[in-house]
Amino acid sequence: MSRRTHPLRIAVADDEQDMRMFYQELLPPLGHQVVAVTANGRQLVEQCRSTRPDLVITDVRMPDMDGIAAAAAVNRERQVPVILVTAYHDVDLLACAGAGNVMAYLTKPVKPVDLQAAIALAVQRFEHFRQVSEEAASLRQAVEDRKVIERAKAIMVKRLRVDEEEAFHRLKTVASNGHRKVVEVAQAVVATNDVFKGLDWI
Amino acid sequence: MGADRNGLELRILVAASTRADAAVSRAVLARAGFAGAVCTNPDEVCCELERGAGAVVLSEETLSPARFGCLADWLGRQPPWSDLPVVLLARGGPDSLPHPVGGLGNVIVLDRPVRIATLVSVLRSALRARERQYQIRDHLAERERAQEALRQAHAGLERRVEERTAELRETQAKALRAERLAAIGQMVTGLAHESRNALQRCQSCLSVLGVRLADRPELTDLLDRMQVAQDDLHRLFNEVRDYAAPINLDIGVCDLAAVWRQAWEDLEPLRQGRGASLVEASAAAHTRCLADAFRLKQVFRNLLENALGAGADPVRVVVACAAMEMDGREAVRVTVRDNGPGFAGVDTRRFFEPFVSTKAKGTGLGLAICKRVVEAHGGTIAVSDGHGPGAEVLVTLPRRNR
Repeated sequence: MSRRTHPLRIAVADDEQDMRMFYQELLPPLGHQVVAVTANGRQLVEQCRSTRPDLVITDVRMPDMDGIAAAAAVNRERQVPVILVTAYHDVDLLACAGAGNVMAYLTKPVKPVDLQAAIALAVQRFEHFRQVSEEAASLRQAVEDRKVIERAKAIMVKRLRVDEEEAFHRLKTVASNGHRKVVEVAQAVVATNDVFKGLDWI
Repeated sequence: MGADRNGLELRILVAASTRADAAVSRAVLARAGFAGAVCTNPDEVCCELERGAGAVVLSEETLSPARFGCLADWLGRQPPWSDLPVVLLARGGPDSLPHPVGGLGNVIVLDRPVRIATLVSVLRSALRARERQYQIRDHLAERERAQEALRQAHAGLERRVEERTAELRETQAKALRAERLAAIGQMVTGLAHESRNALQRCQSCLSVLGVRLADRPELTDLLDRMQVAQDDLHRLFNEVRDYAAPINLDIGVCDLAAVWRQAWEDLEPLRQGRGASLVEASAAAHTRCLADAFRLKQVFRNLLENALGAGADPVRVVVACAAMEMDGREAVRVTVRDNGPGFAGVDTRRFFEPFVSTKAKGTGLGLAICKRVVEAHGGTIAVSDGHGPGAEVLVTLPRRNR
């Protein structure tokens, strides 16, 4: 038991009583807290809503919503990493596990060491996944902002007969004076231009 | 026309009682264009009959009791198609004859003196009748031959039907066996799958027990032993599933040397604290072939594991690789040899059958899985009956699969 993952709040689901007991008694010694113990997919989704776990560990084949559908449902409401545990080599089932943020997969019988390794891996991968997603979102935003600023600059070059550099400088000055972002000022310019469209103002 | 096959069958045999009669008879036959034989001695007629005759001409004085008996005997032995015409020249008509002539069969009696023209005409008609008999003979023979051919064809047909029936029965038996094996395979695979849930329940309870009994160190040993048994069972089920599941090869260019080195690497935990070495004796160019590297690694791992388990330290495993030919195709043979006790005195015939093991520990599936994988590649695996010490296993693989 080498490097420990930081303590996690975990929700588990399995239709086997023995397996639920296993999670309840073995996860705390690994340094984690079991916040929800459920016997089917529907219960898992409900309890995740109220307990907001850091990680979900679920069986695949369960009555009343299987683990893969439950993982997808949970992740539609809130992004959570999922570890699937199954007694079968469900390669076909796994193909549709993409929507559920499934970060690891274990085949029964599972020992505490397997669980520990899978938890570490799942958390790491999910963290990485989230970073990459955030980065992508911010890059997307930057591209959008850039477009607005370019449009504002083009309007100013045309209306005020200044060059691009001067236009950008004015945007920055106004933004800094009004404690606003450059993109906000640029949006105002674009909006104003739209309002006064057709009016030949100098 | 089948008549007169040897030039003797249309002969007219004449029995002449005197030399003068004989001379006259010869002259008459020659003039009329008949082939003939004129006999003067009693036994000669019967002899000539054996060689073939179209008709016989006799006169009452030549019909001595001895000759009559021989003739009647011959005529009586004729085959069903044959009815040899006998022309009898009698001075006083049929009634003057010394013997009842009915026993001679097809007899024509001519009153003497006979006109030559009459005799020639009678003989011609007798020969024509005889010719017709020969035709019937040939016809019968022809029919007999056809029947024989038919009989043989029939027998051949019956034999073929029997053969085909036997083949069919064999094929059916094979199909049934294959079906049964497939069913067993499916059942075993299902069993191995289903066992996972039960194994997990055991594992869950065992792990929880370990936590709950953490303050009872005297019980740790028991728990550890249960865990070992649990792991053994898990491994057995995995191997059974491996053995029973269909093999789908993932064929690619494969460097066998890299594969067995990787297999040796994988056995690191087993080699720890032991003196074991792997020696390679092969030319690098020989080790490439088209194969499923993952599956072959499994084969080498099993073979190397056996070698490690067989002997006392220091264990020395020699892997050699050589190019060879297999059913006219390029092949590569890998020999894995250890310095253990070898197979001397061990029945190696059933070595590759499942659940046959010489080790105290082990599922007995290792070599059976090896055989399955190698055969799926179109190759062969065998133990060498080499005499030297150490066990030697030969794996032969075609360079190109199929």
